[in-house]
Amino acid sequence: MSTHEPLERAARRLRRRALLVRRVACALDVLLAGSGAGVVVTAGMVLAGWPLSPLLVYGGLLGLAGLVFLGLAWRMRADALPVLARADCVLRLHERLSTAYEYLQRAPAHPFLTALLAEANRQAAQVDPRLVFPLRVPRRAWGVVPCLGALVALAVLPIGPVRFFDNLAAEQAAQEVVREGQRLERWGRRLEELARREQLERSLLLARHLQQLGRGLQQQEGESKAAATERVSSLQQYLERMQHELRQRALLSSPGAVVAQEVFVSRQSLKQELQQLLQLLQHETLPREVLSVAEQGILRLSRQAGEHSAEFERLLEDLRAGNLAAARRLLEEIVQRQQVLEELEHLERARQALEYTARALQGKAASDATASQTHTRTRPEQGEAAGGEDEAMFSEDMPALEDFTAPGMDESFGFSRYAQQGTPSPLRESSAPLSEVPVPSGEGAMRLSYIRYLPVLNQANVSPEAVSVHYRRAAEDVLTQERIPRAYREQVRDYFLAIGVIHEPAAR
Amino acid sequence: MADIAAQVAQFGEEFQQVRAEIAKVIVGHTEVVEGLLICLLCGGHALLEGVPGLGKTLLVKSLGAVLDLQFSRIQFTPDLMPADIIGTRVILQDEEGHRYFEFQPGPIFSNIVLADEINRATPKTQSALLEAMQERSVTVAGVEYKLQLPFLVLATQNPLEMEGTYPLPEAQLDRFFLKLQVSYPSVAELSEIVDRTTQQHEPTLQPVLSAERILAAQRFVREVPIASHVKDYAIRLVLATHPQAPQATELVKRYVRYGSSPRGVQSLVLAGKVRALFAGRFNVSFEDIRAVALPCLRHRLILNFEGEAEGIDTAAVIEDVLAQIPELPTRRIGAAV
Repeated sequence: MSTHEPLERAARRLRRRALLVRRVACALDVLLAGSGAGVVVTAGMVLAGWPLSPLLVYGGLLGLAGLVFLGLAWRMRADALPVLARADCVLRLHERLSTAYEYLQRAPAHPFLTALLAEANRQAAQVDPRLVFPLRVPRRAWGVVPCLGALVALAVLPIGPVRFFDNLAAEQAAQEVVREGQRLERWGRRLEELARREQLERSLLLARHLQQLGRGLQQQEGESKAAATERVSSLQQYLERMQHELRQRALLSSPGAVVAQEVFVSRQSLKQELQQLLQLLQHETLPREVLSVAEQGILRLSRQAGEHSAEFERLLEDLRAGNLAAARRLLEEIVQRQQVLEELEHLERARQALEYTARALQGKAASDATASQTHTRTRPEQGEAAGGEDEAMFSEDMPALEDFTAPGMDESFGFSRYAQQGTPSPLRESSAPLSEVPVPSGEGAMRLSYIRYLPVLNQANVSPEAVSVHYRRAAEDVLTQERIPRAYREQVRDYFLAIGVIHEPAAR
Repeated sequence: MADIAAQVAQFGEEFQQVRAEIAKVIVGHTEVVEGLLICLLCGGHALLEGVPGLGKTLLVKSLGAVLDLQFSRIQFTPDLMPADIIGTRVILQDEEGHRYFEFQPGPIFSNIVLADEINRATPKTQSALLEAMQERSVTVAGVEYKLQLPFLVLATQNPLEMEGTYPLPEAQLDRFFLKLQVSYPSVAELSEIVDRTTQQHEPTLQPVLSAERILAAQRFVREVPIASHVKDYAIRLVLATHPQAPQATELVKRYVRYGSSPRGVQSLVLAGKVRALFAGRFNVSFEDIRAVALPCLRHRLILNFEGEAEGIDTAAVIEDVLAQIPELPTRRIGAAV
């Protein structure tokens, strides 16, 4: 045995131990990286549905990790001097081992070497490599545990592929259903208010159904569009049955037929005038003056009624013949028919609302809604009075809020409201005959509306009522299509305000 | 092996005797005594700093007496001239009446020179010591005179009385192997001092080591092995005192203007060797380097204005360096593990 054998042996043991510790650390690092990659790939397979074979993936990862580890482990070296220096430091050997080893290699003839080696050999025999290089798991290696846990959880737990875009679409659809529900509820409230005012029982019932349906659509979270459409469709069918029943009862067979609607002479509706007449005929005998007033009213109504003036003529005959009871019965029938007519109108608006909702839910209205975004952007700035919540009601296909008003009782447009606000009318009454302006409106069958209005005294050759509606629609179209530069909109609005054919909120 | 081990043992015994003899007169100050012995064995010079009355002069006188070396004391004053230290040529007349110059050596021609309160002399006089300290020789009128070996300058200075003093220039400070702080004695030490100095009997010191033995010990010290990584540690320590060095600590970067000169490494390694022998070891360890780092380096660091203004002590900077610099560099540990 050479003089330095114990030192050499200690150096060898220390090197082996150092290599072992380092390789274990390296293996843990590779395992950490591999398990991390495994978690990522597994997450991709489980959550995103990557079409990968688990056997291939895990086999490949294991093989790659093994190769990386082997490559790194093969390159690892542990020199004797550094491990001995480490042993000196850890065991507090005052650098005896490392100095002796270094001088043994570098200066074997050094006078101190023999003594130094003797001491080093003595110390080397007591060196425990496990104390110098304890096998500790590096802190970062503990990351393997959560990685493996995640791996097992992903593999075991029944987690289906997460369809991010599908979810998004479903969420958008649900939001759309909720939005349509809100809209239906809003319309239902409005319709109920009008129906209560006009004492229209069926409209009231339908309005409540509308609200109920709207609330139902809002509360049924996650309800599919198809289910919502089905519910809307059920109410539509119910509504159609109601319309059919009413038409059976009404003298006028179709709402698309010619209807006498507006009576502006006394700023009262036809229904109100009929009720006033009915009130006059409640007495058994009538004074001559009252009889004259009633005859004039019937004549006025007869002129307006057009093809249905025969009933008024019969009424006039009964009145002139003094048969007040017959006249009263006839007038009551007319009032009832008018009631039915108004109800039909209401139901028609409700039908349009439901139809719009059904189309929106089916997605057909999506493009229309997109196209009408400019419309919806411009309309609210025109009319704040309509309320922020009604902004979606300005879509082209949608029935406007004023459509829910009873015929002749428009509050959002028309001169009746202008007068109700107490603003003095800029138009003066003349003795010229009443003018009638045909107005195309609505969709489907053409509905002819007659607007009666007091002729005004002015210098124009054409009466304003003959052109105002056309002007208004043209202006609205232009404003909607934004052909008028924004800077000129105020002038356009001022013009219509000045000629008095529109009121302030509508002009915005 | 037996020879070296015996030499080391003898070395330890002899200097233990020196310590014991000095301890007859000097109470405490073990570190200062060890520092003085290190300087003696390394052939360096020591600067002792301490307030008056702590026994600096007595310590040096005692060392001279114990070592059986020629001892001289120079009291530095502002009017002290270089010739008063190194000597001068005087005119003499022989029997025939011929006159001639003869060199009269000054007090520096001794083995141990006590330069008491060295900072009270003018820089001109202080610089007269430079050649003697470095070259162990003096030149007078073109003639070089060798000093006796071992030659050891032990200078003292008072850190409190700065008025009328001339602080030593950095070049001269760097020539001192160690700077030793003489601290105030403890209660027990003070009690012992009182007992010894107020009695009739005064201890007499016996010479323990001869000049030849000291010179042999100086040669023996230089043979002590030092491992490359220990030497590397000493180098890294010294480099870390330089604010521009990558190893520099935050404290060094902030408060130090210039770090230690290469003499700092030399003193670290040599002092470490002596300390290893004192401990009976055959090699220098990290602990030896750390133990001598403070006296070896504290006078070699030059603080910047901020350091001076904030009253930073160079000892604190060195302790910070010792705390920050690892004994084994990271790459070495990494290679091992």
